[in-house]
Amino acid sequence: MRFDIDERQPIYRQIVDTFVRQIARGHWPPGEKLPSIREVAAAARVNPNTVARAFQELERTGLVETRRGEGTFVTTAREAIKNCREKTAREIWVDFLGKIRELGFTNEEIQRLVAELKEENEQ
Amino acid sequence: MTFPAVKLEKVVKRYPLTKALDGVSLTVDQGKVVGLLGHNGSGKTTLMKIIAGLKNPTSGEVRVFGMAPGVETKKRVAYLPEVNTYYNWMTIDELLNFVKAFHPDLNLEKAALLKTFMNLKGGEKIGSLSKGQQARLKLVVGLSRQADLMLLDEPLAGIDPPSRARVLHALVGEFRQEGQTILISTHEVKEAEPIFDHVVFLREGRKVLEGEAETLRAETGHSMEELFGEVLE
Amino acid sequence: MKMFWALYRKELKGLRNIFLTLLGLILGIDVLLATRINSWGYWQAFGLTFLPLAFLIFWGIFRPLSLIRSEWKEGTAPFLRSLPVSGWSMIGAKLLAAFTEWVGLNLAALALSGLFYAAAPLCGANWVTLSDLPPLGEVIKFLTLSIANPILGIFLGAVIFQLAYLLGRLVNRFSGMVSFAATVFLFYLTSKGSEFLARLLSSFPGLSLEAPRLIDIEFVFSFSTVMLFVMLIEFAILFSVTGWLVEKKLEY
Repeated sequence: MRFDIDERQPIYRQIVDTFVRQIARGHWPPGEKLPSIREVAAAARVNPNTVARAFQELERTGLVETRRGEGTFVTTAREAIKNCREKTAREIWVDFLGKIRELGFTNEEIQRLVAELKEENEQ
Repeated sequence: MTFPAVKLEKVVKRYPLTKALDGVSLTVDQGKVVGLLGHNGSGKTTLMKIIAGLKNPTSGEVRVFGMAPGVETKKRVAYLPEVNTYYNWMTIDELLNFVKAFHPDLNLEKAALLKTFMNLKGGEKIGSLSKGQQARLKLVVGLSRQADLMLLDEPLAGIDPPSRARVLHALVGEFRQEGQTILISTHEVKEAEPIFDHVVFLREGRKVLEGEAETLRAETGHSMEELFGEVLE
Repeated sequence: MKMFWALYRKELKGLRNIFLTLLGLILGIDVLLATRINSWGYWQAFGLTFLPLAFLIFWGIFRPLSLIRSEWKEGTAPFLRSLPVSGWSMIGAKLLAAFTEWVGLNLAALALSGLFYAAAPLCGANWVTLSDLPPLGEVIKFLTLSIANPILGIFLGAVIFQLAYLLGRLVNRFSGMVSFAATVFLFYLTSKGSEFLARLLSSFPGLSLEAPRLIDIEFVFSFSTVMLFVMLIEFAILFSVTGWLVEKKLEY
């Protein structure tokens, strides 16, 4: 586990985002047990209260569930993970579009750019 | 009914020539890690000592777990001042046993783990320890106890920079007692800021800014270290 | 109570080194006197073995002050004060530990004198015969008062010095001057108080301060008893005040 914390942004948010990305990517497969609050706090060098808040937030999104006395597990509802993955992708995409449109790119230019980058990547 | 760990109401501490505290009101909820941030001379130490029951406020009200500071509150508080205040002629183990006579909550097994963690030997005389070792010894004594409220005055002073993050984490993480409230005064905000739930900025005996660390980050887009520079310079 | 004894044991451990030094000193004096028997005579040398006792009276008065002053000198006062014990326990443990040391040193000095006395026939002197001593009842009465009075005197003197020192700690500057002035003032106050209390107590039956034309043993007993009560009352008052000062007024 590695966390790059930016102290200018809410820390719990950054921990939530890290887990959301990792779960979406399949790093933590459905039904897998997540590290404990203490372990995450130790790895991120932050206050366990902050991690607890992040876990609560994750639970609210339905991505994880806490079983009393056992720990926190990734949900087995694959649908929820899929939705979250797409939602996150959309957020990144909207963010990207906003920035690139500021530079005056049209839809055709963006499509051409994406195709070009894809080709470069494949080579 | 649960009381806040600390409640200060318009606390003033006046000395013949200066005012160390100028009307500070503050509530510290149980279970929080609170950073008391300010430069040297901002009143942090005076505030800590008033909460610990070592100084009396000139005016204002102080409540620790709902009680005025005294023998009963001291049973629940671990106060760790900046400088070494232990008896130089005692060995580390003698000190731990001495403290245990007053605080039955001191756990000698936990103390043994902490001694190893902090790289200290039980048979060493306190007077022969270096400044850094004395700073670590303080944390061994404080963390070995199951105190409900821990008051740490500049805990990083004397601790070498590479081990600071490790020590801080030991404080709020692995060695912390469940539900313990921790009040940490420091002017070295960068290293300590990820562990604060709540921060209080003090300047010349007055509270200039206070809030949940995460809320302040979201609202200002600044780290506590940046806010420290902004509010206190 | 457990905490009080922990404080007491701490004080005892803290004063161990100086205690041992003084013990060595007393032993040294007695050894020196033993080597002088031939040139000074047995009874002179024997008499001088009681010299340390006189010195120990002052030591007993001064010691609790040094125990409390060291807390500030060594910077340990904040730690002591952060422990969940009252100011009275803190002061009381110091008085009792210093007193224990005083008793220990006195017993050591007396034991050595006893040894000296036991060896009298070896040095060509004779033991005092029992018939030369006053009646046993008188001896016990005399010993009780002559031990109890100095002990109370020591406690009273010690608490005055402690209180005076702590009064000096109330101010940030000129602590030494304030302590000195407080010492003078407190001794004056205590002596005035003694006069007043002694007059008050002498109105009780059996305790008279009216000196007869010829000072007899009865008068000495009566006077000593009155003084005993006077000192007891004064000690109780000053001890309460000192503990209260530590508890409520002093800052660390």
